[in-house]
Amino acid sequence: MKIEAVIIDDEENNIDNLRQILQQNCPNVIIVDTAKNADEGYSIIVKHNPDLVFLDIEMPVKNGIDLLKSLPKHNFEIIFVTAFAKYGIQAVKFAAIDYLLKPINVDELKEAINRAEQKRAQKKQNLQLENLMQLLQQQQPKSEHRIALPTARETRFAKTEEIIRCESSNNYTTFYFITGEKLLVSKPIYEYEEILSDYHFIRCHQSHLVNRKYIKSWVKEDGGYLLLDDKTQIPVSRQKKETLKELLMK
Amino acid sequence: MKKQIALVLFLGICIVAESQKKTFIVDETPVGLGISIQDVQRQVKKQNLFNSLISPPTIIESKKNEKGELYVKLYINADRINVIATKINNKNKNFYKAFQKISFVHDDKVDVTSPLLSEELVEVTPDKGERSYFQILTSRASAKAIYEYSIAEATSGKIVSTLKIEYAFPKPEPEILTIDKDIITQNEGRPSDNVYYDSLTYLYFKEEIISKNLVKTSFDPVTNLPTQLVLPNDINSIFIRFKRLIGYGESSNYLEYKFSTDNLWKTTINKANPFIILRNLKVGKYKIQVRYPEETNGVWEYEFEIKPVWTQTTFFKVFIGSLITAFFCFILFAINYKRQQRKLKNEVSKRKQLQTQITSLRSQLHPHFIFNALNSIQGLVNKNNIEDASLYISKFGSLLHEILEKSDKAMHPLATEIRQIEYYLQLEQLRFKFEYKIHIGNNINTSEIDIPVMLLQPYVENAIKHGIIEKRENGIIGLNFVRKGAELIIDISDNGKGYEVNAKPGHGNSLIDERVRALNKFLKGQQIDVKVLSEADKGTCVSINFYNWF
Repeated sequence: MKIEAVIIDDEENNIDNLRQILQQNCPNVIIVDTAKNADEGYSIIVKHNPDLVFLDIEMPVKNGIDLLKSLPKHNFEIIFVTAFAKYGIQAVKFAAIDYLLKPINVDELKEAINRAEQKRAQKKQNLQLENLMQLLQQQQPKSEHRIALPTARETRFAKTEEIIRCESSNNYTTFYFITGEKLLVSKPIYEYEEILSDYHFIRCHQSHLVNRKYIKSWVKEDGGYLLLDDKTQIPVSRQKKETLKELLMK
Repeated sequence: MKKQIALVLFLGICIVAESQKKTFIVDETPVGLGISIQDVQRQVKKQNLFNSLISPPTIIESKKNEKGELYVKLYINADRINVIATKINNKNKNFYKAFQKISFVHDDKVDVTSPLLSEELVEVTPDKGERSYFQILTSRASAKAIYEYSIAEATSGKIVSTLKIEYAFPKPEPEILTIDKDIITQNEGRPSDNVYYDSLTYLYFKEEIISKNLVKTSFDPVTNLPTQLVLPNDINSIFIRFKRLIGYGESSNYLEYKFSTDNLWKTTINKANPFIILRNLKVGKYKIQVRYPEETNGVWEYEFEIKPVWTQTTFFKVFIGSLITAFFCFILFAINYKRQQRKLKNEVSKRKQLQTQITSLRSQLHPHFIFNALNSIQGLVNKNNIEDASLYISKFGSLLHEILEKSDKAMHPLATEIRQIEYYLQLEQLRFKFEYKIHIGNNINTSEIDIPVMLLQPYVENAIKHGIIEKRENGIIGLNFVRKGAELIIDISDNGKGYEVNAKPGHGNSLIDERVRALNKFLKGQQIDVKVLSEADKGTCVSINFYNWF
């Protein structure tokens, strides 16, 4: 399947570099246009209605996020390209949207394009991107934020307050919801520890990440475990005790 | 009070008023009998012994029976009562005899068989005027006796006039009712009649009540007693002293009292002014009844109430109790909380300090490796090996991202560490020819377990530098991750020429050692131990043991 793509980056060299890498490694991606700032980027997206947008987050005047906000529709796949993984990346990870770090790693690029291709084949509206836009509007209370949990079948958007806990199983993570539902996501637990640390999730054990909101009590017997509102008992590992104490005392 | 009043009651019907004296002429017949009561208020006042006496003498009943005998019932409050005979004078006194007969009453029956004085002849003393009298001292008047006086003709023995007197007791009258502790103690400790109080003691009580703001009450205008006595129960003693009654001898020095629901009457101690002290009064409504032992009809009654002070109500006690408990709990909690906070703060600052130390030690490792990497890129570019150069750059970039992104973190997942070390090994592979083998035990979940950030890189770097570069051919770097119970062991081995273990380690090594020491202080209950095994021509193995790691 041919993918029509645009590249938006404030540095010409970067555009050329990405174009060259794509030509060499991903021949099904056709660069229909490029832009060197957000306003131009807006125009080419509206003009070409591309399948895929490579977007640099850091650009002078108007950044990539501002450009996305200004767009009326988000019916394309997006791969963020950024030089430094600080700004905005937390939200991008939260929304489970692909991003590449400069210099571009070809393997990662191939994987990201592969995913974009699959999603493109399924639907028109990019729900993950819509979700990201909502997150970045910052109008919602944090409890309303929806984390994107990609599974083999679908991407689930779950409010963080609906998640009781996460449990690791090798490189997968199982999410437990207040509804009693479970969801297996193919990302390791430490990634979610990072993403959910701003949402009062506590890693109390190497295999467990717990929503602080649902901790009923910390039972100190039997080496210590957390009793959650759904009556599950989550062990507390020795190493995490101190951190847990600090977090709970906050 | 008038200074001296004589109440004279005569047999007969006519009443003659004399100056300052009341004379009741009862009979015109030659000889009649009457009573003259001498008021003693004057003497009392003069002696200054008592502050007050009970109500003046009072005739309760007087009647004449069919035989013409006069019957008088009275209560006296005088030191003397005279029975007066009219029309007996010095001329005719020898024609008459006077008799006195005292009969004691038992069970409402006159016991004539055991008179104290029976038919005793008493001397008749003529007065200056028409009257004469035979004086009777009534200091021993009893309410349980009938006193009979008669005049008889000396020759015939014919009784011409008879007077029967019965004495009653009045209702006891309180003179002091107080809650003053001093007065109570004084009366308890010194059983003397000489304790003198002003007759205005009632007022004192009144003031006491008003000044202490004990209760709101009104006062009886006649007795001066509070009409409604309600006392708080921190006042648990009441002292009531009664007015003196005289003319009855000892029997007026006692009172009987009954308190509320008592069944028996108790007797006060012998005092001219008897008193009662009510002690240890609990909350409740009380009634005190007081009477003279010989008189069962005249009972003085008084009611009062002891109310709980608001500080003594159950509600208040419970409230105060819980308040105190809550206060102490709060204090304990506050102390504990403060201590915990301080402890936590100390710990946090200590940990922060250690963390800074750890990260700063780590950051010293970076430049070393960065410049070597850049040097390798330069080499590839100079050799025109563009494809490798590009690959090298992207791997180097990924590694830098990982390092810089997490530069403020002390720990990261083992999976991340392994990924980084692989990037590093791949980078170094571009410079030197060697193989690397990574073996991870099945019982290790690399995405769940954390290890210190970039801990392995310097050891791997050393293995390459000391083990591989010098060997030049068939170099193998082995990374072995083993779990033994709660222990994680990471072996980093090379097949180089080995070295003397005790030889002075290079710069990198001392930095690593320092970092491991800092980490060991930082980690709680967990320890990292690094052992180096090296054998000449066979290679070196650095074994990092992580105790208590799972």
